Amino acid sequence: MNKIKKIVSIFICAVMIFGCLPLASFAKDANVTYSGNSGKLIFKPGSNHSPTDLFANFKNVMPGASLTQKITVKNKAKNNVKVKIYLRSLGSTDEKYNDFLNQLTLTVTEDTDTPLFDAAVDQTGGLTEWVCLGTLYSGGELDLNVTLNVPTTLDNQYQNQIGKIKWQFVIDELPIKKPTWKCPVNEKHSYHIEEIDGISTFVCDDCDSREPMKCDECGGNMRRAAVVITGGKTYHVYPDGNRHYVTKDGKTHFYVNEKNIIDYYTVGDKKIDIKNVSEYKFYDFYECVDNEHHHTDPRPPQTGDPTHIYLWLLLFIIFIAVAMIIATRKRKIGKDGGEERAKC
Amino acid sequence: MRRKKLLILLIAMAAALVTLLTQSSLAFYSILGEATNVITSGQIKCKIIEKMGNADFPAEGVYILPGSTVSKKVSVKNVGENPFWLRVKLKNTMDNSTISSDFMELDLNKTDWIDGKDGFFYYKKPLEPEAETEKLFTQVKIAGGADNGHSGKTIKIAIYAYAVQSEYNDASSPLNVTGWPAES
Repeated sequence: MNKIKKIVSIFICAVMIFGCLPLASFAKDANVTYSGNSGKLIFKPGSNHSPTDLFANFKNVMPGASLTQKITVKNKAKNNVKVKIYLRSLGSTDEKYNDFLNQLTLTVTEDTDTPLFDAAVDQTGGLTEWVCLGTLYSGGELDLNVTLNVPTTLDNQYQNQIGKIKWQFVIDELPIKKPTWKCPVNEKHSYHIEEIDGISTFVCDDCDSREPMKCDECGGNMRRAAVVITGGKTYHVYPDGNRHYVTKDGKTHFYVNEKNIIDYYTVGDKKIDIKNVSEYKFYDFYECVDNEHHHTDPRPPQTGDPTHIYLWLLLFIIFIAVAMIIATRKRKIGKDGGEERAKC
Repeated sequence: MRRKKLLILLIAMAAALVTLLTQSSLAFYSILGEATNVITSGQIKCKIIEKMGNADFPAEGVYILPGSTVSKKVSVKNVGENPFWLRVKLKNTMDNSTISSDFMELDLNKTDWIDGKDGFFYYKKPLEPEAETEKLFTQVKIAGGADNGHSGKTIKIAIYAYAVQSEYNDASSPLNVTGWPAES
């Protein structure tokens, strides 16, 4: 009897597993991966039409369809770096696609309900300007959910059409800096950092000097926090009395008891033990209290790579300097040679 | 003059140094990547298949005599990538005049096709890509009583197939389906 039950259970499990397979393979996810060291961004899966195509699920679309595409942006840089990710749309790549693309609507959302983009596909909409998608630490991921709506009014003239739109991603790689301070009384004084009224403050060990830590970007107050990356998702952990709360994009996800967190303020191979979190990566950092500014600041450089611009400028200055040195030396030789000839 | 050049050189080097320092306070790297995302629309395509026995029905037609039966197997194949609902219209003429059903009889398949009584025969279920319908009819029978007035005439059985997507176009019956293309 038990044997029969076992066989029936295995059969049911097999049916359930194989029954799920076609569903799992139907929707393809797309990825944008940054591997660090200013390497190229890798766009997957690509298609016959474009090697950087992220719209794997938007092929052969039919009137009445409402299709979704999940795009995961991954920071796979090996070193402990954080990156800021920006996105903008350049719209249709060619006017010839506009008629078709104008019939379709696209919605792009991140984790919040407010869409980043909600317009006809040929438009640039809310992605006309650079939009900061967020900050990712090594191993972190963020998801974009793209929905394409094809109206039932799309008639026969739009059969077998193609449309292309261009999206630009910018990755700004930022170092995770250890905050430093000099005691105004004596630079040689040692110091430590304390959380005073929720604000990270430099406190001198040798005198009464103290100074709140300031954000490099906006001058706002800073607070100590930690980043936990698990399952590719990045969570922030903040102290709250004798417990800690874990947030993502400003929303509290779950609370953690103090006893479940071990040395999470210390950089290194220290452990953090959060309930329901099995695998994680951990980064210690200080964060601006007004964290929202990280998500709303427009990207200052509009085109190209600012690092390269500075490098070219540097090379140009060096070139000018070297040219001047050579010119000065040549003139000197010429002058000396002239004197020689005059003597002859 | 020489001192002036030295001064310029120093300024240039200082500028280079400032540039380096400024750079270090900015992002380590900034990378721009472009994704060209592509959307393509589907289409539906069907092909009418006419067979005589196992061979294709001759394009030039066949000679028939009163009382004879001709093999003509008609079906429709989905040669596109999307499933569709299907309906077929038959237009039987003799020298451009409509033929009486008493004169010519088709063995219509009423198991897989529904006579919509609106001039169309509807295939009962959506036709998947690469699939072929059951035969709409397999033979044409000419009445035995046809007189000499029918000799030398040309009988045409024109078959018009109309397809509309079945995805996002659910219906309990093909008779309730909407979005049929306009009649040609």
